Amino acid sequence: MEEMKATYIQEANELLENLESSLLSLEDNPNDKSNIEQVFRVMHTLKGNSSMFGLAKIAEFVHDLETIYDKIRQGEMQLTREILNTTLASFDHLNLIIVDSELEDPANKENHDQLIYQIHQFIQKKSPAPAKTENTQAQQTNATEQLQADLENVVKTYHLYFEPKPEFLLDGSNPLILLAEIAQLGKALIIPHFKKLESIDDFQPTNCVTYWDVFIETNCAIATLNEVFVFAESNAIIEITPYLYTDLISNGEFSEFVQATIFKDVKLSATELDPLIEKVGKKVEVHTENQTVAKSASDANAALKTAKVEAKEKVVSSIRVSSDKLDELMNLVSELVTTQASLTLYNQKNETPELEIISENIEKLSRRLRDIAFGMTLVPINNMFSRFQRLVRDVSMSLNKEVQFVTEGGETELDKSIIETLTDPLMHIIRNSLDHGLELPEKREALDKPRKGTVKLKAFYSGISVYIQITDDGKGMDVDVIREKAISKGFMKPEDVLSDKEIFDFIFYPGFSTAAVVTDISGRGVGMDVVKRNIAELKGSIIVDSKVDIGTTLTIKLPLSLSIIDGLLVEVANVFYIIPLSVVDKCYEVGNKEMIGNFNQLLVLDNQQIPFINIHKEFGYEEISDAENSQIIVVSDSDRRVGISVDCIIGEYQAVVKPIGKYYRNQDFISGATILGDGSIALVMDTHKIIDLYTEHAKTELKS
Amino acid sequence: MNENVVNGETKSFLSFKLDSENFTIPVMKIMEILEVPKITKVPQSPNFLVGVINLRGAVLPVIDTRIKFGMTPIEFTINTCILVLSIEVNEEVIEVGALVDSVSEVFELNSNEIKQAPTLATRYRADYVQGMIQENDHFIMVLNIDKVFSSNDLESISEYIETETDK
Repeated sequence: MEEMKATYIQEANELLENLESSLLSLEDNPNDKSNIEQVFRVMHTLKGNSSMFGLAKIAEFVHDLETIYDKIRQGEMQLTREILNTTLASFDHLNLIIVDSELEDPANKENHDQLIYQIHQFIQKKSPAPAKTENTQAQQTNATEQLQADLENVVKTYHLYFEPKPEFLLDGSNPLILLAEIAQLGKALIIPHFKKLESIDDFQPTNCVTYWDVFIETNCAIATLNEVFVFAESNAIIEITPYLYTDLISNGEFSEFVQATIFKDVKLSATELDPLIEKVGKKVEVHTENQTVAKSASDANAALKTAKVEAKEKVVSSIRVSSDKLDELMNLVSELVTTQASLTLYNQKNETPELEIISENIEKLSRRLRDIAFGMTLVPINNMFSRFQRLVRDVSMSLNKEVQFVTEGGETELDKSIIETLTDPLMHIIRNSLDHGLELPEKREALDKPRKGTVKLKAFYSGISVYIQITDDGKGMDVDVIREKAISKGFMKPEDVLSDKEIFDFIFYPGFSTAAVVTDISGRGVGMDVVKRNIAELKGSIIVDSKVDIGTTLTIKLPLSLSIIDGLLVEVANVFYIIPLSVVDKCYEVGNKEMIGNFNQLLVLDNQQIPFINIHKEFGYEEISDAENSQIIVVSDSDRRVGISVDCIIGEYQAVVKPIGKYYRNQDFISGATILGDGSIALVMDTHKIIDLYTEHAKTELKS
Repeated sequence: MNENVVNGETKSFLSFKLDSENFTIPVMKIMEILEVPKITKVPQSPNFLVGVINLRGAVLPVIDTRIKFGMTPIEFTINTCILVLSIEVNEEVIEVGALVDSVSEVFELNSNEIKQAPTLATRYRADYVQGMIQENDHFIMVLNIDKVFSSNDLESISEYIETETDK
């Protein structure tokens, strides 16, 4: 039961997420029919789920909300801002009570009663006569719906085409039972057809070769007919066409025409049937009280035809998989990649041509499998972006600011766990932008800026990192103000010369806030330091750039967290290292004479001066003297290219990166370790960190 | 026999040697005992971190227990082995390999037999040692294993060792 409850909560959360985005788009476009429908549907499902789990309070609550949207849907009410606000408040409330279904928390109880009261107010108010201009469309749709409802109840004729797939009979389904059921619904004319077989060899006694055309005169709705075939849908082609005519089946000419096709491999087509039906059939008179929209029967017929059900197999767009299973899959893929490395090694030793082919194939397959498995754990960042829409709306309303929230690069994919950790810091940054960054509309106009401020959230890939940028076009930050504040707080000395970037970095110091007024939204000086810490935990970094009256940009850089990487296997002082292939630019062979005692630490390669790092020295290994040459691997690190010297390049290697544990947290230039085919260990270099480390060392050397 | 012994809990312990000293830890904490495989040293790591090994596909950090206890670095002999320990740090279970000179025996021990260790005049940090037991004429130190190998303690240990050796 607990497990089912968990499923319910999970589903409810998803439904609520859907609901929120629909509500927010309704706010921009209150007459959007499809969104109102969507809201109504989500509420309906939520109500159903809740009552299924016996959560009567939630079900009642949602039912009342649903009533409002049902009325809006029917055109009896106009969607107003007040209704939307109440709905959003109810939405927040629902988020709370799905875990507190008995309203044990008194605050929830109070809120609950209050919201129900508000909702009832809306329902009782009925429609405050909707403005005419806006509502003609709604009225029209309303009328069409009315017409459709009327049509549901009159006697009419359906043409039903039923073609079971050849394997229909294999699972014990009997088409005759279905047809008998259909025949019970009214007066029916059933025409069987046989599929033509090319030769007797094609005949499979277990296959179904019969299909049917059925004409049925009934007052049932199309849904009733569909219900009969509900279990056969996936295994058969079912087409139902309604005709607003009666007396077809008893008509001699009509039955003669259709009966001529009995047992033949002929499908009755609409082009042949339609004129005949029109000629012989008796038109159904549709009585509708609504005089304003007089629709001809043929129009309504067309409307009904759109409801024609295409019972083709439904395309499964997504399934729910527990993250445990995904983790297990990833582990297995990692094991496979490791095992495959042993196979490759064995093959290299034995050099059997047949084995080589197999080994190469397995390598290709495991590479593809790896890509797919990783693709599954990544989630587009859009999921998170949409959550911020609401935040921006609420905060900007409470601040009386007009904001346009723009998102870009929502398709950028990140690990789900990273996205979760990132939500809070981003929320904080956006709040800051809204509160401190953007000015009030009047002030903006005075500054010749558009009345509506813009907050932009942008995500993109670059190299082995993902960047997330938050930009606002608000008042920006003044370097001098921050500088003074930093001096007064004692973070820096007045005589220190710092770059703008370094000064902006002070806003991440604990207890640093330039806001003169503390609001409940931001400005207490707690937060930015937490933001920075959270991002550092993800091994990311954050940079601020700001110009007075132009705006502020915060850039978050995160590493891609793929745990299997393509790398270059190298050897330094008898220890194996992996350099991620994504950063490797080019490899060179350089004589040791050129490197040792090189004063500038610069090499000229391809007519370019490239600084290099002597890994031997940097890692504290003894200098080798006997080897003549070293291999230089030129790696790119953001905008610079740096050479790294290694003893020997072994080759390309698909590395499963495993953590080396907390003991080595101070050695973060090693991002992990991988197990080679022969069971020995190779360490994975983080070239970015190595270059940073080297630059630091060089600085301290200079000072001393 | 007094009633304390009746109430006490009996557990299995494994004793091992570092240099000439005897230590013991509960068998429950030991996942397995390994011969020393090829160890890959991580550059620029503290000297008590010997490196990492491949434990059936997982990467296991290995610690030189002797350096950790302020003794001279371990010398590899035929008896040297790695105890794979499962320790709890901040409610998180991590595995770590501990290099020891030799393992001696497994024995049953009642918790009442563990005597309070004298807090003064020990070469080791007092909170590493849970207590002592007497066997014939020598003492065996019962280690508080979670404390000894907690990675959170890393800096403080190295500092501690430095200050100790300075004295």
